[in-house]
Amino acid sequence: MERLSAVEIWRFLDQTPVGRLAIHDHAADQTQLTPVFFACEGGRVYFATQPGRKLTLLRQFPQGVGVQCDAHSGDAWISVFGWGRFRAVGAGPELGRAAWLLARKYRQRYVQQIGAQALQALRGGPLAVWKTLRGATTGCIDLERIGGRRWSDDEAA
Amino acid sequence: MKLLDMAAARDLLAELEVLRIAVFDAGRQATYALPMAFVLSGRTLHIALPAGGRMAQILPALRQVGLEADDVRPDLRFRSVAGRARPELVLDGAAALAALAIRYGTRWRPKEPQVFALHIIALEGRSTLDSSMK
Repeated sequence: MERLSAVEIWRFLDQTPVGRLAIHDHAADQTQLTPVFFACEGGRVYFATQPGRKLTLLRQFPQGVGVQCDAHSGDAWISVFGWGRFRAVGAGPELGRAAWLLARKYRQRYVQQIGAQALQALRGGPLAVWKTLRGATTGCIDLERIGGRRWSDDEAA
Repeated sequence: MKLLDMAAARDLLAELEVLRIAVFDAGRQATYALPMAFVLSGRTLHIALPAGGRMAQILPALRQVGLEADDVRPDLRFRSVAGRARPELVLDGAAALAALAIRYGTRWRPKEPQVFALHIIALEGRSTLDSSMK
């Protein structure tokens, strides 16, 4: 087993389509793990989300949110894990930058997802459009610590 | 997006090969997660962790952990399950280790494994494979 360098970690995150957010509900003492599409830059993990339990918990307990990714390729496993603080990205240059990073990473599939959400909202009428636009949130985890490791099938995980 | 109930989510979980569990690490004041091999029997999962590892040290003291497993296609359509389980240290893990070895073969080579049972408390799934959101 070997530890990944910082360059390897960020390259891996750039290439990995799905990450997971690990969130702890301190009031109920419950931990949840949720898959997300994400993009990274400068120690920040960006993702787009809509109102729901995940966003409610992130707003309520923003500290110590885990970010996890893994992949199996050939005969090697890679696992990356970090944690940091959640914040919602407000209107401004960072919001545009986060959208651009997500669009660059997921290309036409990202645009298709946005289009499908817009279509769904339009079908629901003006109120649904307003709710979708108002609820759309770009989240950011400002990472405080991150690490990664690689091991082969011949080694213990 | 199609929502899967407990039974359907359990069936999907049985198909998937990598489980991730998330725990709150009070020492670090952070939530962290690891991928791992597992076997599912009824509503109980069995996993094996390196006995000296941090996860194995933390797990016995926890009331519950988060679970997640997924199958994401190149076009980003996905099937996923998420839930919560109650961990329990298994003193005689021979049967679970044998089941893990049968399921994963040579891809799974544990080092000083400590077996834990994860008793599922809640499990639900989501799938976009048969929706129009492609």
